[in-house]
Amino acid sequence: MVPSTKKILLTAASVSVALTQAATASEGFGDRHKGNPYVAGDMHNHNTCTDGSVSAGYAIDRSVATGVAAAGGNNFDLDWFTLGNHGGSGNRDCRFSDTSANIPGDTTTTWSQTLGKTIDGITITSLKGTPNGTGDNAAMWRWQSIKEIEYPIIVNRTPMYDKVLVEGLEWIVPGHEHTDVAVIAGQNPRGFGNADKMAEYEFRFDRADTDAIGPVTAKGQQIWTGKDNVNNNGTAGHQKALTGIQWLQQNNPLQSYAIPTHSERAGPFSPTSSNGYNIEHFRDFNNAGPTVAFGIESPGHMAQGTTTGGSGSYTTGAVGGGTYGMGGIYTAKVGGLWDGLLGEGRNVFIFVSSDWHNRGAAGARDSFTTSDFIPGEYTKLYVPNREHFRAQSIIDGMRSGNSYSVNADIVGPDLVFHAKGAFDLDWKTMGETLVVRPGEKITLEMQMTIPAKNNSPYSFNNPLLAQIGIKQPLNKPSLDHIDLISGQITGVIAPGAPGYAVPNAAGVAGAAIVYNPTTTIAQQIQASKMHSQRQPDGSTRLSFTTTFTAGKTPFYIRPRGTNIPVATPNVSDSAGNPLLDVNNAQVSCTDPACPAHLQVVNGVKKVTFDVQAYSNVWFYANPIFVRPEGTPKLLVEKNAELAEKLGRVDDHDHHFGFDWDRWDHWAFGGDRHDRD
Amino acid sequence: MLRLITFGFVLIGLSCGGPSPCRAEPSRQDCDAAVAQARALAAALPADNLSRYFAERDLQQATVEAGNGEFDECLDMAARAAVEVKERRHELPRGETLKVLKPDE
Repeated sequence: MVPSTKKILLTAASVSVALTQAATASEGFGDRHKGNPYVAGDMHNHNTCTDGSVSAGYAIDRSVATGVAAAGGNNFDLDWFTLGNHGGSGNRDCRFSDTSANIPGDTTTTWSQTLGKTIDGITITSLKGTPNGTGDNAAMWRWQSIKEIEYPIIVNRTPMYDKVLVEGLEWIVPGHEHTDVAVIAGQNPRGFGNADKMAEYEFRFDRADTDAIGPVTAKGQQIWTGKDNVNNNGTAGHQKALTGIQWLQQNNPLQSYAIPTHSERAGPFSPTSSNGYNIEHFRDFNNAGPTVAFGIESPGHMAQGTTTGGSGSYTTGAVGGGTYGMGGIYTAKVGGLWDGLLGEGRNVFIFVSSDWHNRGAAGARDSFTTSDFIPGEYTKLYVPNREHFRAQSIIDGMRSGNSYSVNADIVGPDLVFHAKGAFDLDWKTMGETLVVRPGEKITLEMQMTIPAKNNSPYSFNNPLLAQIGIKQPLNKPSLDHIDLISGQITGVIAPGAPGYAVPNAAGVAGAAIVYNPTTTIAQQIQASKMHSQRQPDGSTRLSFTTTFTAGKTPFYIRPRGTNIPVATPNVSDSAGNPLLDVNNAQVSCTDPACPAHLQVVNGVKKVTFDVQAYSNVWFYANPIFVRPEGTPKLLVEKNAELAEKLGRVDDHDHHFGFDWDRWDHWAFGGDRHDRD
Repeated sequence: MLRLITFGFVLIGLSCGGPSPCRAEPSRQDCDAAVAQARALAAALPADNLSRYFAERDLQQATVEAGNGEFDECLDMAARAAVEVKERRHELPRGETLKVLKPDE
């Protein structure tokens, strides 16, 4: 129960609704059923605790509140929000936004200026651990800001919004670049709880956190002992990263995840420094953490595209040389790295996020952006809704694979993608495995709602479509077609076996690597051929049914959809695959309403920044797997069964102990996932 | 070209072995040098030049990245600023303005 004497104070810049006393834990948590089969959230975003531009509270407010922020700027009404800030350290007090965000009354404030002061109900008396900088550069280690700043702010905000707020981390990975992690064990924003496990993970395994001390007892004894503060780069770093994955699998197999993010950005893996990921590293992660390392995350930073590239914050040195339809080459390429993993039958699913930091040339309240979108503004990660939706529901949904990732609201919260065999009564959906006989006809159905509008501040016609004679306002989503991509599953490759490690390459050379040569766009369904039903709210419900014939080899089917027709100049190739997004900037934006911030070549505005992002729109859904009857179970099935088994074991153990952190569970009931 | 120049002094003195090309970990000194170089380029433009404004916003983020202790993103932002200045990709026709809300608005 949150103490009734606790007062909640907010800085003026972050207020978007009036605050009340903190709610008691007995209030229904997520009981307000939204009715949508899927709920939207964001798993990766930043604030001034590290390199973001706004305070932690402001980032939450703009992402999950409704209407307009008190100081200006739309709020984006996400259903759930995982705060996924970098590890390491930061010298700025994240109860304040940066001056550069141009938020009234909010200026850059360092920890040195606020020690000993009570702000937002939080008092920081000292910067803990190994001293890190002096004066205004004195930095707080992230384990401390996770425990003592971000989590309390989540506790403050949770009762305001009736939304699920989670403390996570963008792990700066030893031997690699970044991975998004959440450890929800202990987190209970409406009751007794803490983010100690999340903080401990950051302390132990983040290569930018070189603190040698961590939290100490009253007698000064180190609490989190045995940290490896040496092996942070290259091959040795990768081994430390695997130790971290194993730590999650051992300690929190169902209450955590670790998903490599923008995994092409830093180029191929380096055995001596910390760069990117090759396919063998994804395999290593999934092997070490079968119920925690289950995905690949697309890049955010979607509004950074310029005439020389840069969308997704990818440079020409990234694997692939940039982004493709706002995605990295690993997931955008048919037969790419993701298909290579699916071709083993692995439970590796795609997720999208904003990677929100700042709006570039704009302030936080401006409608345009030349850098990032606020969570919910452009990207939405959809996971299944539940009657008592909570943090565990997010992780369960992601792990199951029953999720899809959407840019610019091209489809809404009620996607249907399922399949069944000729003799089946029940459908299988994303992440599940359909077992059929060779030769059996498989019926596949998709239904989706194309919303009436998105969050684009621009209503002029899409310039990428205008060049081929299509007039489509940027603020009105449209779907051109769905690709049903299919590849064969040939079995798990063992570590060290031929094909387990695949040489990688930076730049466009990396885009030529084929990891699963059996993958093709098996079917391409034009929206104009789908059943279409206009809805009263102006949206359109599209649906179609198609068939596949099962062979003797397992396979998977994964859909993606786009507003871009096949062979659109500078955007898509003759098969409909996205081209390198830097090509979009070859197209001119000639409408009189084309905004002032676009880049100009020879006096002509080009399709860059947020206009590029709203013009070139895709969504990705996770696959359905298909296996012939009588053949061995796929790894995705085995790992799902492992998760199920771990859930039963944990449930059994839980009921034999009293959990002080979850007293409200016992008092008021809850499902078996409602625990630390 | 500017990007290669930016990373030239990053790679000097650093080893980067193995078959895959890689970028060695830049240091705070590398970041500070790149930011200083790009800032000098930007300062050569008139104060009201739009490309200078964009470049200085990139440099602001570069220094923020440095505060996070991850200097490769600092270098990326500094390179972005330098390209902005070199290529002057922001021009506005007479009468058009870039409207950015100020803190007192």
